[in-house]
Amino acid sequence: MTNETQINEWLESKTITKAQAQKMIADVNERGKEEKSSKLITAISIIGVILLGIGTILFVASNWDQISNITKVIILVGSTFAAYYTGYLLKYQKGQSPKVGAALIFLGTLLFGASIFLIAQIYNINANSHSLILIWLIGILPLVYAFNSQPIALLSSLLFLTWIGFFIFRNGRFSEHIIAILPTIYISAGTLLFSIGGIHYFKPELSKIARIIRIIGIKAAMISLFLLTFNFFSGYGGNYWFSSPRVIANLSSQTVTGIVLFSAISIIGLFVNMFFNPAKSKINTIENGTALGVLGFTLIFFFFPVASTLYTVLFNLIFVGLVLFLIYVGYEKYDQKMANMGIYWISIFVFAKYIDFFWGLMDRSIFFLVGGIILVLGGLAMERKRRQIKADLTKINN
Amino acid sequence: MNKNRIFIIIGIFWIAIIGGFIAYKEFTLQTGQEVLLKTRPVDPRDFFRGDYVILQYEISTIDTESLSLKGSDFNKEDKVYVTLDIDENKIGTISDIGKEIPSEGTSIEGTVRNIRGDNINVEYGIESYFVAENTGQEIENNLNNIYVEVAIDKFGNAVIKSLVSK
Repeated sequence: MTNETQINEWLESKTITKAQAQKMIADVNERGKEEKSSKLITAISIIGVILLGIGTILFVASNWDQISNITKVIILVGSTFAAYYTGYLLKYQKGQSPKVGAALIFLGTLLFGASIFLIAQIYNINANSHSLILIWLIGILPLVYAFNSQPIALLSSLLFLTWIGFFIFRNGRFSEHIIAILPTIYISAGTLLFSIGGIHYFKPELSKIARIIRIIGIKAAMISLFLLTFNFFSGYGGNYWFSSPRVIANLSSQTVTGIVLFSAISIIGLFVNMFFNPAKSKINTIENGTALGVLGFTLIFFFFPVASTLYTVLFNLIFVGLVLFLIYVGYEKYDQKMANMGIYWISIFVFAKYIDFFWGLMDRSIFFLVGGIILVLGGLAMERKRRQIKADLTKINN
Repeated sequence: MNKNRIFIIIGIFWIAIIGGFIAYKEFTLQTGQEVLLKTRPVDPRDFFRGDYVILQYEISTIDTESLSLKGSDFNKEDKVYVTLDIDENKIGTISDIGKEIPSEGTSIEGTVRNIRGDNINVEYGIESYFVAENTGQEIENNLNNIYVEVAIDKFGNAVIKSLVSK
């Protein structure tokens, strides 16, 4: 985007006249004020609708005995449609308050979920029922595309990941076997979101939706990969063996089917993105290839466990490599957020490994002193690097 | 397709989901056979949805040997139909279990969750009962003689109607 520095450079090189420069500077400043005001309106609207949503739900909850079931349903379902309709009116029909309208449509999706849970409660449907999350997700998914809504795309992606967790723990049992395989499940789910997000890029008008879905996918996969750098999740530890073939035998067939299905769809999606993406850039090929590699290695780990720390070591190497790759991709694609994500994860990784490795080895006081020094110096270095990347990206953008 | 049409289609879609959900449960409540099931309580507290009592029933744990069957006849996650004998007080007790719904009698659909030897644990989808806030503990303390009144429809689906003290 044009800024004052660039305009002054053009003035100095006599590309534009002084009058033109003054007009351009005035326009840039005006646009800047408008953008700030627009962001403020969006923020206030979103806070407002969240408060409205919470208020409606709490009203029903706190007057549970005083209100009949039918009245509860009417209040909540009525509020859902009121928010949806009003939001639609403001954004598309009248058109004068599009941001407030979008926020109200988003509130409608939240109240839709609340309505589902309320009805489930009225009929005493099992509290840990994963199907309620799935119904909520199915209900709001069309709105992502109907209104090209990034917040609803974000909510849908999070609901998908939440549904997986509810499904895995549907028996209410938190056994070591189940917890140990969570990273594998979420890497396949995260890769699925990443590949589906990539396919959205095929339609330019869905590019913002694509980005949101891909980022959620990356985050889910990164958290899972981070967990796999620890012995508990990828090696031999304590009284239980993740490496035991009994672990897979103890899992339900639905869980194993889920992992295979998500992975199969992800692999197809990643290949499609690699070879048919309109962008056809080198970065796109490397990104999808990397995702394939991470997924493939995780599946090998899951189906061919080994009673040693070999996989733990390999996952640590993969994680570090991936994080450095994130920073590189952020730089190449002028994507500040992605570069920051990479820096953030390097910090978490170093800090976690420091605790993991040195906690038992050092005297407590030395542990905290050294840890503090590393964090302060590391923080300074990271901040300097982040500013440097930001400056470089800003220069390139201009 | 213009935005008006999309808006209306989505509205109808939401009504279909919510209406369908209510209709599915109301069908069981209105057409189902009323049965009383003896309970064994477990533990209350759903953090996000107010107080609820987790219920276990006498029919939740089935000794397959007493029905001339074995635990190895079943696998985890199997869908089963438990046929109930209903006495003159409407209290239901197990008379049989199978993987297909019988053509006669009242059967409740469940899912096998755990198998220990010849004992199998079955979940019926009626293990939560939502109560007014802070009353869950009081109910739990008096669960010695509590029966749960459920409606079971012809497909084996069950919905809790109320708690009954006997």
